[in-house]
Amino acid sequence: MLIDQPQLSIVVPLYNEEDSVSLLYQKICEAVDPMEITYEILFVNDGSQDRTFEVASGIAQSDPKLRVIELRKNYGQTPAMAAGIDTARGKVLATMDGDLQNDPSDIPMMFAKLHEGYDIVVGWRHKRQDKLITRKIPSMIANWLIGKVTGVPIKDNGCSLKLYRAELMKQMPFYNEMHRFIPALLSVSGSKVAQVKVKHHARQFGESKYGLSRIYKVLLDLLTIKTIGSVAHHPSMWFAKLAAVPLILSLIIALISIYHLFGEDRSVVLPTISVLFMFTSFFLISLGILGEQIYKHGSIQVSKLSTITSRMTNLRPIDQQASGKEET
Amino acid sequence: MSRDNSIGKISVVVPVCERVEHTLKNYHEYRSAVEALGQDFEFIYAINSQFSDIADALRDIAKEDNQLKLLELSRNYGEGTVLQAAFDHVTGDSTLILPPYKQVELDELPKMFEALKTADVVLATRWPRLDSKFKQTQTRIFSNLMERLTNQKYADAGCHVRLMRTKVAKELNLYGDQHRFLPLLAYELGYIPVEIKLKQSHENVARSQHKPGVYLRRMLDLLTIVFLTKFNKKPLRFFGILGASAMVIGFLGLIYMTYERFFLDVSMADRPLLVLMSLFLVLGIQLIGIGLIGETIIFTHAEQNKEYRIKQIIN
Repeated sequence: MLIDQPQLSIVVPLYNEEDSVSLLYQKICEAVDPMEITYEILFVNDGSQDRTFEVASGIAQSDPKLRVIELRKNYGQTPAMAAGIDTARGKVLATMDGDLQNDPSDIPMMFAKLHEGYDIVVGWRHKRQDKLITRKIPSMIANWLIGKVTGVPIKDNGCSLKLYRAELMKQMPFYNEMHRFIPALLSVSGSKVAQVKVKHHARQFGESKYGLSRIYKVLLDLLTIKTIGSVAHHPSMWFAKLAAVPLILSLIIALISIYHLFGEDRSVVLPTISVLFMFTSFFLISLGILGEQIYKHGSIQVSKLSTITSRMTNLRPIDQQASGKEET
Repeated sequence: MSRDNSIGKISVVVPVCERVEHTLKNYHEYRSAVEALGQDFEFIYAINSQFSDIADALRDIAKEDNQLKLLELSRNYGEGTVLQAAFDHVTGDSTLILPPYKQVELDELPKMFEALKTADVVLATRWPRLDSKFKQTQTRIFSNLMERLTNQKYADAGCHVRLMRTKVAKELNLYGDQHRFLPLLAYELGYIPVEIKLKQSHENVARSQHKPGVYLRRMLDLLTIVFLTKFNKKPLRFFGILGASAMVIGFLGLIYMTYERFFLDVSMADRPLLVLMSLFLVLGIQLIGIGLIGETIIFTHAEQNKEYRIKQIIN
C-alpha cells in the first residue's frame, strides 16, 4: 500500500465545461479543506472540444492536489468516471458531476457518514432542479423499477454524487451506464449502503447532456443486472426460473392436445408447439449452466467482494490466505 | 507530452496475401521511394505460405540487403492477421503499410509523412481515380454503407496504403480480414484518422473484377465490425432489440388469433400460423437469453476490457 495514500479522491468527469471548471475547483477546495484530511481531485477531461483541458491543467500547475486525466476522445460519462476511479489513489472515492448541479459542500457530511461503517454513501437529490417530464418522471420510473428488480430500494440511482470505499469500488466493473446500478450490485455482495439527502442546483452553464431515450437502455441494463446478481447468488437459478415459463406452457398445451386426442379434430399443431416450448425450456437451462461456467472463470465475481465487506476478527483476508498456500 | 513532430525510423510492412504478381519489381521501387525520404528505414515482408516462390526470391535479395526482413508464415492467414503478426516485429517509429501491388504513385508518399506530423493515423485515398466508373461506384457505395452503419465516413476503404505511428500499430488487434476496417478500429482506440488524396497508380487500373463471393464476405466483415465497435460492451442492446422484435411479432400474432377464436369463431388449435407465431416467440426468448450470456461475459471480463483510453495524466 502506498504510504502517501490520500484519504479521499474526488473524481469529476468533464465534458465541455470550460465555464464551470475553475468555479468547481474552488467549491471543492472550500468544501474539503476544512475537513483537514489529505485528498486529491481528479478532473477527467472526456474529449472536450472547448478549452476545458487547458483551464484544468492551468489550475493543476499551481496545485499538485489536482490531477487532470485527458482521454483520447469523447467516451461518455461512465467510461470517464471509470478512468478517474482506476487512476485515483485515495482510500475513499467520491464521484460527482462536472456541471455544478451537485454541490461539493455535501462531501464532508457524506464522508462522515461513510465512516459510521458504510461501504457506499449515495446522494439523494430530494429537491431536484430539473425538467419534470423529460428528466424527473423517467428517472422516478427507473428508480422504482431498479428497486423492484434488485430488491434494493434506492431513491435516486442517477445521482452522481456518491462516496465509496476504494478497495470495494476498484473491484467493480464500471462500463456502459453501469454507474446507476453500482449501489444495487454492491449490496448484492453484502455492502452496506447509506442514502443521504444532498443539495441539487439548476444548471448554470451550458446544455443538459442527457435525454429521454434512456428508458429502453435502462430496461435492458436492468435485465443484465438481474442476471448477474442472480448468477452471483444462486448459480443458474435465474435461467431455471425463466425456463419454468415455457415448460409450464408446454405442459398445458400437451394436456390440451391429449384432450383433443379423444375428440374429432386431431391436428399436429398443438403437439408441435408443446414440444417447441419444452425444447426452449431445455435451451434456457443450458444457457444457465453456460452462464455459470462463464461466471466461474471470469475475473470479476460479485460474490468474492464479500471478502472485503465482511467484518473479520483475528482472521486474515481470504486472498492473503490463498497466496500463503502457494508459498508452502 | 506534446505531439512528436519527427518521423523517425520508418518501418514498411508489406503483407503478401493477394495480387502478388509484381511483388519483386515493386520492392525495388518501394525501396528507392522510401530511401528518398532520407530517414532510417526497414522493410518487413509478411508472406503467406502459399507464396513460397516469392519468399525464396526475397530471401535471396535479403542476403545482401539488411533492411529487408522477412516473416514467412506457416500457413495462409487473412490479411489482418498477417499484418498484426508483422507489427509485432516493427522497430521503427512510424509504420507504413504498402500492399504488394502498387495502388498510388510513389512520388506522392512524402505527402503522407507530412500529414503524420499532425496526426497519428494517415489514410491514403486514391484520387484522381484512373479506373472504371464501375470500380469507383463500388468504392462509393461501400463507403456510404459504412457511414450508415458506423457513422464514420472514409472515402476509400479499398486503398490499403496507410501510415501510422508504431504505437497505434502495436495497439491494434487485427485479425481475419479486418485490415479493411483499420480506420474504424484505430478510431475505437481513440486515434482519429486523417485522409489525404494521392494519385492512383497506373498499375492499379487494369485488374480483373471481384468474384461475387468477395462481396458477401465483405458484407459479413462489415457486420462483424459494426457489432464489435458499436455493441462490443452491450451485447444485450443488440440481441435484445432483435429478440424483443421477434417476441412482439409472436405476441401480436397470438393476440390476433385469440381474437379470431373468440369473436369470429375461427378455430385456433389446428392452424399452422399458431406454430409460426410460437416459433417467433421462442426465437425471441432464445435471442434474449444469448444476449444475457453475452452480458455475463462482458461483466466478468470487464477488467481486461477497459472502455476508455488515457492520453495523459497531469500530476
